[in-house]
Parts: sequence; structure tokens; C-alpha cells
Amino acid sequence: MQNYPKQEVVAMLLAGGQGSRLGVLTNNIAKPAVPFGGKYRIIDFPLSNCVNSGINQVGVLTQYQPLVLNEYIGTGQPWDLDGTFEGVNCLSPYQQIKGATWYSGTANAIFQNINYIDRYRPEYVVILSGDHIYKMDYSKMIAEHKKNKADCTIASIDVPLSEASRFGILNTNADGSIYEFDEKPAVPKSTNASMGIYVFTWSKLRKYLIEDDAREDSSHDFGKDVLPTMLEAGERMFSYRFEGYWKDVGTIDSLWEANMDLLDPNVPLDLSGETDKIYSRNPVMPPQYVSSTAKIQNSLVADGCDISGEVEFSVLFAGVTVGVGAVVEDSIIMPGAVIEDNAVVQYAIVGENACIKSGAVVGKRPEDVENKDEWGVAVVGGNLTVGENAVVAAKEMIYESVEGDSK
Amino acid sequence: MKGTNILGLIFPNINDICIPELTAERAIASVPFGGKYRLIDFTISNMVNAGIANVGIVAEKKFASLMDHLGSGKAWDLSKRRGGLTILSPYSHGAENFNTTMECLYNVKGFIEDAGEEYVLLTTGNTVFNCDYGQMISQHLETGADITVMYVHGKIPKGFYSPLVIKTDTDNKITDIVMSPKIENSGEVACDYICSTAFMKKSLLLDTLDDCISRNNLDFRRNWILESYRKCNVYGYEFTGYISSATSLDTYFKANMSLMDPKVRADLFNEDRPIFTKVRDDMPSKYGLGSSVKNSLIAQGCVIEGEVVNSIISKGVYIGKDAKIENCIIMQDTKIGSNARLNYVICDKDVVIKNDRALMGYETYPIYIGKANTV
Repeated sequence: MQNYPKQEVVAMLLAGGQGSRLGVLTNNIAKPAVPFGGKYRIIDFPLSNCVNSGINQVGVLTQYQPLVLNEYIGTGQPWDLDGTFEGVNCLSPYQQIKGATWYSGTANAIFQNINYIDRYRPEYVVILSGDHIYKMDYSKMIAEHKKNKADCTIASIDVPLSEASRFGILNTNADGSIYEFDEKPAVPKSTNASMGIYVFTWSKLRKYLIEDDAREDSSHDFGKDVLPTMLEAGERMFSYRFEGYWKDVGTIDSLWEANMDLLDPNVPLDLSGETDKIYSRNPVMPPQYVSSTAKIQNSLVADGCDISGEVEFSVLFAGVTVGVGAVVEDSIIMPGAVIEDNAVVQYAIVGENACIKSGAVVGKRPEDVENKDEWGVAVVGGNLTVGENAVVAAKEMIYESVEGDSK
Repeated sequence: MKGTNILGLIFPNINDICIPELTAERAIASVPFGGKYRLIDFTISNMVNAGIANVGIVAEKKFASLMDHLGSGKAWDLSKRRGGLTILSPYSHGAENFNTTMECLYNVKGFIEDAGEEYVLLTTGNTVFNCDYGQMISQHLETGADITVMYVHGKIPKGFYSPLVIKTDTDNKITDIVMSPKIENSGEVACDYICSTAFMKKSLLLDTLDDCISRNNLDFRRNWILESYRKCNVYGYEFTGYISSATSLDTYFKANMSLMDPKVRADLFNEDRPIFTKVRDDMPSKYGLGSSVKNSLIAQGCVIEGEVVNSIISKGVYIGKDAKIENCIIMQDTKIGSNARLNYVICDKDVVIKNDRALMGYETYPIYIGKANTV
């Protein structure tokens, strides 16, 4: 048998979720493969964090629409995760002697891959999600875990009290040890929210995963089942406070906001640092061309774009075309999308390779909408066409092309 | 014919002499171009797009920058078990002289002999074009030529090193070759001149090489190509797409500026035959509030706070507030301070232009600022 080199830490990245709250954007791709920040996909963040933290063995658990994700990760070369004995592996559910089951929960996904983790004989396993935008040095968290002689360490972030009831809240003693989990509490006792990033001592987690699998009343979820069971059994569980930028991009609004945060000089998220940069697959395209009629203000623009219109407070991915007289404001335009002449796109997300025909209007500025409840970010799905002079209202999400008035 | 039956050989140092400014520390093939490319990217991509999977770079000197750029060849899909990219360095096989292309070729004779391919495509490394080599090869097979050379019809660009002007009969068979003829070399009249590429059987290359070396005929152009049509069937293949050869600082500047023409970009960056290059993990470029960019090509990783007109801005460049950059080529990681004024300036890599500096060249005489200098 091939003896794999021992790894002190193995990371397991949960990337199988559908991300149904992103609607049309995750129709054909898993949430971690959703484009972000002009040239990245969400999964670039946890993958780059792993490599920048010295973790070189990463299992990516895929289930929902894995094609694009599998292709994107490929051999792992963009993240230097293509070593001979170490690197990244995509782990899909598979048929076993006793039958075939889908990953029925986050803990079950890890349970079904115990043999994968065992090959590397790790001391610690880091569990990560594929839907967070942040830069984090996991090695610091692991050092804390060791110092505390913990069985489980959960990364946490201070959230505003008004939002605390949307999160899992960790109530801790003075030494950081956790005495209570409060899942989405109506009346939060603290603002110490779980980020969904866990460090486990592998021998402990392994035991609890096997026990959890045998329980018929379990939903095989870390947050709902494994962590409460461990706490009840008196295992050493600690909270690790993370300081820095972190955003869950599970909804259209948060995805839009996180993109806009890149344009805000006051947001501490620099993707280009020398030692902790975010890596990605790069498009094979020429530099962006900005014509004489273009006007670009406070925006991010990637390779291959061809801009002749007005672009303000927007993020343009690779290969986007903005025609003469077109206006793109406060929007995210995903790779290959075309905004034709005189089209107007405001407060919108336009999916990959979508086409907004000339004179069409997508989205609206909040100040132009009377009833603020009807306002929101408009979303056009990938590969769709919004016909000439057609209108996509604010907050609308379109799943099918919209006919225009062209003859 | 399958590209896998063709060995590609690139001579990155031929024409170094044309642009001494840019080639002081690098081979001409690794001169930056168009904001994110090196000149050699076009030739390698053309080869790869034709299915060629074994490419040798016949390096002569100053090739550190080239090696850094090419790496394992991964960016061109040339990091392979079989074939792939090989940088053939001088002094590696016992030969002693590398003054001529012929001697360089002789030094790497072992590599050529060992290659399993039957044909060989020889090219320079300083031509900017997107060529379907498949067409040239088809013509070679159809005509039954021994050698096919690429030629261009037009005025010879300024600084073109010892151009070979040809005459052909109706089916493109070459009937005469003249080196640097006075009238055509003036650049004022159109003619057919050989450019960039030659194609032949490997056995013919090796036989000719042996013959030339043993007779001390060391000049590739004078002693071989110039004479070749008398000894065997030499055909020309006319390339009619966009082409520019970096043959002087002036033509290099104009070639960069020609990228502003959408027709040139469409021809050069043909989606079916992409131009590959080594990429850095730069962020998308950031346009600040109050910035203004007109008719310019901008690579990734730039931060633009000032004004840019008719310019090429390479990856990682910073342009400060109220700076005005007009008709310039700014190479990677250069920093331009606030309120600086630049017109017709070529800044090499890592240059620093401090606040309030003003530099002005002229269209036919752009000012060149060497690598890592501070103004």
C-alpha cells in the first residue's frame, strides 16, 4: 500500500451545498464556484488561506452541481496544491459495499471520508466552508487549539447585536472555553458568532463521527448534532476570536455587498498581499481596453474587458463588454457578459455570458424607487438575454431570457 | 500533418541588436509587450495552437529573464512528459563559439537529433502575430517544397536587420533572394521580404548544418538561406494577417500603440488561437474616484488615480492623483507619482517617477527610462 506522508493538519472544505438563497446564480454551479471580486471564485478564498497557512492537504467535499467546481479546482496547480504526495482532492459521495448514500449532512460528509483523512494520520482536522470571503491564517488558530489542549476550537467573530440572532452564538467562560451554543437565539447573550470554521483533534472527531452516524435521531450536522454532543460529554471546546474582514456570501445581498466592499478603501481586505494573496485560475485574455468614450470611476476591472460606456462603483469580471452610452452603476458583471450600447444596469448582478441588449434597463437606484420594500438588487442569470429596451425591475431575479421590442 | 510531428525551435536572441535599450539585460524575445505579454508569447502560442508539443529555445545570452518568464512551460501547456519546453543553454555540449545562429544550432544538434519529430519549424522570437501555421505547413506539403519560408508583402520596417527580399513565380516558388537591397531597404517601396519562420524536414536541417559547419559557412542568412533556392525547392508562404516585428524602439512603440485598433486586437487575440502568457495573481485593476482613462490598454493589478490617454499600462502599475500619462508605454510595477506629466515615454519595469516630474519625448523619438530607475 502506498504510504502517504504524515500530515499534521488536513483541511476538509465543505463545498457540496446548493446555496439555494443565491437563486439563479447557483442553478448550474455549486455556491463555492460562484464568481467573486472580478476574477476569483468564492472557493479561492479558503483554498488560498489553506496554502498561506501551510496546510497542503485539502479535501473538497462536492455534491451539488460539481462540474464547474471540479474543473476549476483541476489538479490544484493555481494554489500549488498539485504535489506528488499532497495537494487537493475533490471528494464526491460514492458507492460502497453497504450501498450508496448522498452526503446527508456536514458531519456525514466527513464521516464518509474517514478513510481519506486516515491516510495522512493527522493530529488535527480543519473544517471549512466554501461560502465565506475572508483572509485568515489558520495556523494561528491551530496554535491556540494546541495551547488550550482543546478537542475542538471554533473560530468566532464579533457581530453587531442587531444581527446576532442570525448566527450561532458561542457563550464562553473567561478563558475562552465554550459553555453553551445558542443557535440563532431570539435574545442573544453575546455577540460572539461562530464563523463555521472548526479545528478538531482528529482522534476525538473520528470517534464522535462514528457515534453520530449510528444515531438515528441525528441529522448528521456539525452545528446541530456533533458539536452539542461533544459539549455535553464535557470535551474541551474553545472559541478562537478572529479579527479582520469576514463575510458569509450566502445571499444575493451579502454577495453584492462583499463585492462592493472591495471598492471601499476602508474595508480591510487586500487580496494582493505578497505572503497571503488570494490565488485563482487566470483567464487567457488580453489586457482590458478602455476607449475614448469610456468613463470609469471607483471600479474593479479584469482582463479582456472592452469598455466604451460609463462604469461607476462596479466590479467587472474578465471579458465583459460595455457598449457606447451604456451605464453600469453599483453592479457586478460576471465573466463574458455583454452590456450593449445605451443599456442601463444599476444595482444588479449580471450572470456569466449574459447579454443586456441595447436600450434595456436592469435594476434601479434605491432613490428612484418609492416603496423601499420593493427595492433590491436585480439579478440576471447566466447565459440569459435581456432584449432590446426590455426592463428588469429592481429586486427581480430572472431565470429566463426577457424578450425585447426589436422587430 | 499533425503538429506532434514538428519540432519547434525559437531563436530568442536573433535581432537583440535592433533595440539595444530594451535588450540591455534581456533577450529581445523576453521584451515586454502589450501590457502583459513578452514578445516570445506570440511565437510559442502560434506553435502550441498548431499542435506543436516539443519546443526548444536556442538561448545564446542574456536569457535569465526569459527563463524566469518561461519557467516549466506550464502557461503554454508545454510542461509535458514527452517533449514540452526545453531551454537549450549555450556551453552545454562542448561547442565553443556562439557568435552566429549556425554555431548555436550546431551546439544543440544533439537535441535536434534526439527529437522524434520529422519536421522542424525555425522562428525568431520578436514577431507579434497570430498565425495559423497549419496553413503554411499544408502549402509546404502541397507544393512539395524542401523549405518553406514565411514572407510579408509591404514596406520593410525601420531597423529590420538584414532583410532578405525575395522574388517568387506564380505558385510561390522562390526564384531570387537578395539581402538588404538598397531601394527596398529604404522602407519606401513595398516588396516581399522573409519574416520570422522557416519550415523543413529535420534531416535537411541537420545535413545542411553539418555541411555549413564543415565549410566554415557560419552565417545562417548569407551562407544558407541566401543560397538555398539554387540548391533545392524553396517556397514562400505569404502571411497576410496583422504582423509587426519589434525592429527598433520606434517600431516597437508603434506596434504597442497599434493594439488600440479594434481590428488589430481582433486579429491578434483571436479566440480560436489564444495567446498564452505567464500570469501573476494580480487583482483586477482599480480605477479611483477622479481617474480618467481614454483609449488605453490596462493590464491587471493596476491602481489608477490619475489620467491616462493613448497608453499601454502593464500589470501592477500605480498612477498617482492628477498625474497625466499620454502616449506612453508603462511596464510592470512602475510607480508614477502624483501630478507627474509623461508624454511619449517608455518606462521599463520597476521605474519610479516621483511627484511633479515632467518628461516629454516625441512620436518618432519616445524617451526610454531604463529598468528600476528613479526620476
